[in-house]
Amino acid sequence: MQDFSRSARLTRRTLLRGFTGCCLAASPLVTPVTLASAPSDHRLVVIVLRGAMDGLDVLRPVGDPDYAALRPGLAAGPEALPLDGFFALHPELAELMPLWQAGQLGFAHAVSTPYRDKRSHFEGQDILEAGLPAMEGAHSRDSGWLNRLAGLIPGATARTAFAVGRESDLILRGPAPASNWYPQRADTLSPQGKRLAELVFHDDPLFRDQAARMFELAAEDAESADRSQPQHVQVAEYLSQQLLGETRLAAFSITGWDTHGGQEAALKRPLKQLRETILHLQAGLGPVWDRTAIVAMTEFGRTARENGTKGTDHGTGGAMLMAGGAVRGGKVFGGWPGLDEASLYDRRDLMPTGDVRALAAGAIRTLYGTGAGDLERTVFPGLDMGGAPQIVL
Amino acid sequence: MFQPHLAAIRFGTGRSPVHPDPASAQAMLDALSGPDSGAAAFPVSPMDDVLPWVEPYRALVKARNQGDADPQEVLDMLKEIRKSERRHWLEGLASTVSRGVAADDGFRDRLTLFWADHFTAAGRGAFLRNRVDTYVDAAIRPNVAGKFADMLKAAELHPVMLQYLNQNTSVGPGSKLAENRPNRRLGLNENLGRELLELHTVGVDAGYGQEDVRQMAELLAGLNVTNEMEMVFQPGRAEPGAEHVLGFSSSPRRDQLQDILNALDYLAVHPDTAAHLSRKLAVHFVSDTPDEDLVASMAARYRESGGDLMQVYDAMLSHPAAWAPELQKIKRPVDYVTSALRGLGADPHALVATARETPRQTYRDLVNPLIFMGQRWGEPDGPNGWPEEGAAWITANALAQRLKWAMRASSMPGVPAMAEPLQLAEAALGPLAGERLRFAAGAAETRGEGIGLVLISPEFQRR
Repeated sequence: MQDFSRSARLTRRTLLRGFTGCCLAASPLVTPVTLASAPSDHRLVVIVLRGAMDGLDVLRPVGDPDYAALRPGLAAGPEALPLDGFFALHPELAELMPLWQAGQLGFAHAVSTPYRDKRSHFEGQDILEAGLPAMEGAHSRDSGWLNRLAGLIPGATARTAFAVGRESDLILRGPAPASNWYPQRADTLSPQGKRLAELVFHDDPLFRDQAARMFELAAEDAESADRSQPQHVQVAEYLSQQLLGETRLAAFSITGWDTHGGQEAALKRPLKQLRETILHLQAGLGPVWDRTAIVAMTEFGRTARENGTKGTDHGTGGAMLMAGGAVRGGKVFGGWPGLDEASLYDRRDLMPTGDVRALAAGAIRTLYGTGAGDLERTVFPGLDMGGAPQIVL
Repeated sequence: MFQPHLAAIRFGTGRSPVHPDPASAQAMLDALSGPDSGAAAFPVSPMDDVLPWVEPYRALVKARNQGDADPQEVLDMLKEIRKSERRHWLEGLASTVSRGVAADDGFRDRLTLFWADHFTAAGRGAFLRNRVDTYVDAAIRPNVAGKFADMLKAAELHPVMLQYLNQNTSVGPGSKLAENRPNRRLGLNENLGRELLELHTVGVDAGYGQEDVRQMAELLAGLNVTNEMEMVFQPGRAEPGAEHVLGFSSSPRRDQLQDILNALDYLAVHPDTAAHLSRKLAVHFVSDTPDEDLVASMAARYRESGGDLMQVYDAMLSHPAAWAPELQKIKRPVDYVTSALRGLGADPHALVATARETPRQTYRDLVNPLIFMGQRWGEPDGPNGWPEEGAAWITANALAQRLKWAMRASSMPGVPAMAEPLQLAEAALGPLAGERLRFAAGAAETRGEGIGLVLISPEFQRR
């Protein structure tokens, strides 16, 4: 922990230099390079589910004797889809059932980050994205775990790691070069205006390089985008293009999971977005789907008990979803702690029995051959990977 | 040495077609020691505005806990609080930008943003969530031209800071409260103690260790936030016994606030604090790799004057390195939009009126663009504040957002119809507008695009 924060501090300046990286300047008009020159053939896509997804509702433990009593309203809604006899899937994800049957959709339940007790979205998401045991020290937000992983991949370019979103999220922030774009209408400038802008940027290397990159990404986006599609579909399609090219690590967010009231209705939109995102990635990736692992993780779970407003409040243990041809699907990983009051965390939340970081680390080790030492020291400092199930093939 | 246009761009909120550039460094310092007309003209909501919610909300939560109120009512009231508070927050953002647009000389506004970033806090909890501007207006802005010790005390002891860095949950492990309630596992939270040393005073390179952090946290135990959103010192939470931090020793009684104030006074004039703050100011205003002689002369003046900030600013502004012609820094998004609106001659009162009357417009014109440019107002990435390095701000994605905003800027409310893009180049940049930029501004197909090109130019985005 100490070592990590010291090295993060030392590299603060190099870190920020990393955003412009030498490679960007050197690569105008990149066409996707051949896959053989890329560091690995596998793709890891991390979806951050912001707002704390209710794992107990998305992946319902219908076989647990205490479940129905804890959630009389939520359990009584439209029927969930049986998975393995104990767990059942939220009906809004029904279109993903073929993936489950094909072994390309799986879950881990009763998992969490190391974050406990305060149940703040801000801190919970920071810990999830930083990949640290706690947000201590001013530099804990300087880099995210996916960026530190990108830094370990030999031959990585600025396209190897790609975040899709308007904001630069912590998970991919840091010293390793990475790209960030958000599919959007790019008719800000007329063709004449674009030429003039290039002229205006020309003498300043920082602006010239970033502008070249901006125009390049915007052009790719304009080529591939169908603006009549909802934004999350545009994101999935844009990301598919990047993943078919040089990109190996990708991250984006789906929001709307903070369902304190009227959860049955409130979960429909984020679940629809999650479902459609996965299906569009599958369609867009074609043969590359077989080498893709999508993991969807959230900052924490929600209370075991339904609250007085037909919703749930901030909790602890939750569920993680994985999809793709490279995952070991068709099963639910994790040790089930039970839902009787004594088994709950703080007598209110699902007790976490596994660390989402350990699951991700195990997947990374298999997908990219990253050593346990690097994973436990650099990507997820302080993590003990021991005993985590293998979620990828 | 001193250049009027550099003074406006590098140390102020930008050049303006309405306000002349500062005449001299002395004039800038004189204005700074005079009255704060910006704060008076563009007020920020005070803490009093949130207090009427506190009692009714707590009563309702209590009733719900006893089964006497529907939980939905609590959610509904929270929603109402949030709605009302977001309005204040939005007007706070508009006021901050307007102050920079309206300033005769934006040095005070820039210093306020600098020190607010130095003492970064984000609002937490139902009542303080949107109160960062309130904190800055109460603890930072009135103190930017005084002794650092006064700003330090005002910032560390403000309820927004106490809550942000978890001081309100910190209890001395040997305190009366902890002894009386052994089951509650009460203990120290070192967050404020650590950041106070690492970020706010002596700095991370100073010679302190974990034991100093621990003792600082023990010394701070007792500070809490009341229901009236005021700081209070509660002796029952304090850790008994003398504490020792970097050569400072408190009294062993530890039943009063005075020990904490003494420690802050001590740290405020510590030589490591002088060095840390002088470098930070030079990095912010002049260069990511500032001239060492500039930093040394500022630090010397800091030490000689016992942390009199006016003296430190004087040392900075009278050093030739502060006036290097090359523009080395990148404007952060808030500075960028403020200086653009100022350069366009926007009516600052219209900005505030828009926020009040058509808040959606302000979300479109300011709040959301700032988020997409990477600076979410009131919600910094962490207690170390926003990055200084230009490369953190000028990424392909962020540049696209700046470009998008720049192309719309001339049609925003309060922005007068400006005749020619070249006029903007002259008004906002003067001698700094390069030949390529002047050509592009004249060659653009539309006025809006020409104005956008001036605003997106490296000359305009740097300072």
